[in-house]
Amino acid sequence: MPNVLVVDDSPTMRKISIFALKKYPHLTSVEANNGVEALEKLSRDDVVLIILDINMPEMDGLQFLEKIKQNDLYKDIPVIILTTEGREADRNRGMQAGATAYLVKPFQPPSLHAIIDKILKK
Amino acid sequence: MPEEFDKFNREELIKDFINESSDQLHILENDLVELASTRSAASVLSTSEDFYENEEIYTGLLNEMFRAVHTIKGLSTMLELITIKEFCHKLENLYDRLRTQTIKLQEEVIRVLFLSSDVLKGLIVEISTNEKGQVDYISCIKQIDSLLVYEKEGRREIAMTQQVRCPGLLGKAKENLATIKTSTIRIAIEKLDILMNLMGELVIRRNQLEDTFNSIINKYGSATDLVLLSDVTEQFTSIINELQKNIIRSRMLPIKNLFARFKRPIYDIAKSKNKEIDLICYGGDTELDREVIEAIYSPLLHLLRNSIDHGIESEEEREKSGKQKKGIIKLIAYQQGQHVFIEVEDDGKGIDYNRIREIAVEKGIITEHDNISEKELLNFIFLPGFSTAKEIDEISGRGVGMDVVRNNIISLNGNIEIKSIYKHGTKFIIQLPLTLAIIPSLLVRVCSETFAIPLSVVSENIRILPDEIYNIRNSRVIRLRDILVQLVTLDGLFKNMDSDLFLKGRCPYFCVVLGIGERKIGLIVDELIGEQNIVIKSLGEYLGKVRGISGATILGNGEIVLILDINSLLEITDTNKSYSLRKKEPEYIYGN
Repeated sequence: MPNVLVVDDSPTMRKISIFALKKYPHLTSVEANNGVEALEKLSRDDVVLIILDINMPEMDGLQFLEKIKQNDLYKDIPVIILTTEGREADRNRGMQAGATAYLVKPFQPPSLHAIIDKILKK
Repeated sequence: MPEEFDKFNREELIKDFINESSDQLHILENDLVELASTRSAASVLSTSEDFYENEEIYTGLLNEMFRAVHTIKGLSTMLELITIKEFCHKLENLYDRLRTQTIKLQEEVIRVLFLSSDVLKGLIVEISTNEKGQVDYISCIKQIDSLLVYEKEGRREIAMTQQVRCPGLLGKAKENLATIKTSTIRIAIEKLDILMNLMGELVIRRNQLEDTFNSIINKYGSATDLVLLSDVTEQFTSIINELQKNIIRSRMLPIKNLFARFKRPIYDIAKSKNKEIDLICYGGDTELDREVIEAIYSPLLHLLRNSIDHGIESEEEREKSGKQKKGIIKLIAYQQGQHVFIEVEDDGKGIDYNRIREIAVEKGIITEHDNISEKELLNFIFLPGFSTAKEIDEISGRGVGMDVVRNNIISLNGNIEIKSIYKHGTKFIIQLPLTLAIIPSLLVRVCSETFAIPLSVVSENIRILPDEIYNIRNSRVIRLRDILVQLVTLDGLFKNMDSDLFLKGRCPYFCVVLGIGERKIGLIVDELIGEQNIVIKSLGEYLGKVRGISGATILGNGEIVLILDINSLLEITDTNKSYSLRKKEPEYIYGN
């Protein structure tokens, strides 16, 4: 079954994201607490989409993004950054690092759905 | 909360938020205490800017603190808890400026950081209690604002990129890496409670099965089918034992989380008393049932307060007596058999036995001529209203306390002991059961009723003869080695019980010596049955709280057994003024 990898250091925040993902019954979700854990999960599960927080311990979102973009196996997995950092500069840095989309918390599920729909169409 | 999430049980998310934020607040507070003490230690060494010397420690801590605030901010944003969000936003700015060193870590800043973590805690408590507007966060925001001098966005940008390369992170990262390898999930405690309850039922049935099986074997001997059944029963029993152990373990938490919660209050109390205290914790990995941990927090805090307030001397006094300026309080936890021990030890002035004697005389409990051993004197500390403090202040010394501490611990089926050397320090040793659900107990029979006594308070079982009993001031006592032990019977607790064996003329009497703190009382029973692990059940709402009974259990043979409440036994001996142990000739010897 194809998985969405939800990377966030806050379990409550992951719960919220996973709830929003319920719209896609054919996708299951895998959770990771930070970048290091996310890399581990990537190697184990079949991941088709990553929802990524920026500010996390161990390995933050941008470092994680940098890592997977260097890896041929993972570099094509679409990544949605979901973060409280809403400044233009943050957004630019995220997109430059190779994110597919950038969504600022608090978010409404429909805006996340719109992004996912677009990605899935491709 | 965005509309879309309404379906998704807002209450559940708020609960999650409160849980997670409390975790983050603990991190924040502990780091804050560490930051403050590192800073004050450094400022003793050099009056100059010390940030650079301790840069690694500071950056590591500040990053972690920043992240804690950031997480709370993120969640409150998502849940539309506007006040918390705004407050965290301000606080986050302050932490960011601190870690990028655009604001210096001065005394005033530390004060505001402490204040703001209190305010944040208050705001989160408000969410859980649904009371709003109690916390004055606005004045705190003003104080934060006065520290923040806004600079341009550009400066911040440089700061942000610097942070990624800070060396302090690496150390922390390595430390944390070990913990994330074991994957964990959060489970609602109610679910574990249900498992535990079912487990209890299972243990009771297992005991019944064993009993029934044994009586079948006795009747029919060793028929082949029975041997097979015997094997199965044995395996079944050992699996249940294993299951029981693991279910209990799943509810256990390492005690270090509890220890960590003391850091902040101790810092505060020590500061208000103008004392410097080093809290040293050992055995943080010792595991204890979550419920026990919750219940032991305030008794322990009380003991720690006492230690700081009455135990540890002022700096001048300490220097005079050749001790180092900083007082040391040790919190030590370890497991021994079915019990966990927690020790609170200070290197303060110890208990002044003469002072206790004076007060006891003042209060008319003993006379000047009474020759009472130090061990017996320690008992007075647990008497309601007994305080050796010369002045009363807000921290301790009102004389309420030690009796409450003792009662709390006894009601957990635990025990407490004091050891103290005058001028060298005091040590409290608390004994606790691993779990509240299953306890080792001694079964006794009184008037054809079986009762269970928590084994933690049983110090020995003895047989006594009538002429060993003295009658002093309307209570019967025996001399056990060098101390006097007051005898009690259950008819003092249960009026319709004719348990006064003395009148039945049967002898020798069986006596269970209960040791509570330094105090010993002897419970007269008809018969000693034996030791057994029992599953504690409450009496249910219908009966409510019954004096003398703390719960019930079901034995293997289906018999319902009441568990004796040790606190009420203490009460009846307290009202009998057992402490008035005059060392004069006994008025008359019972039985003669």
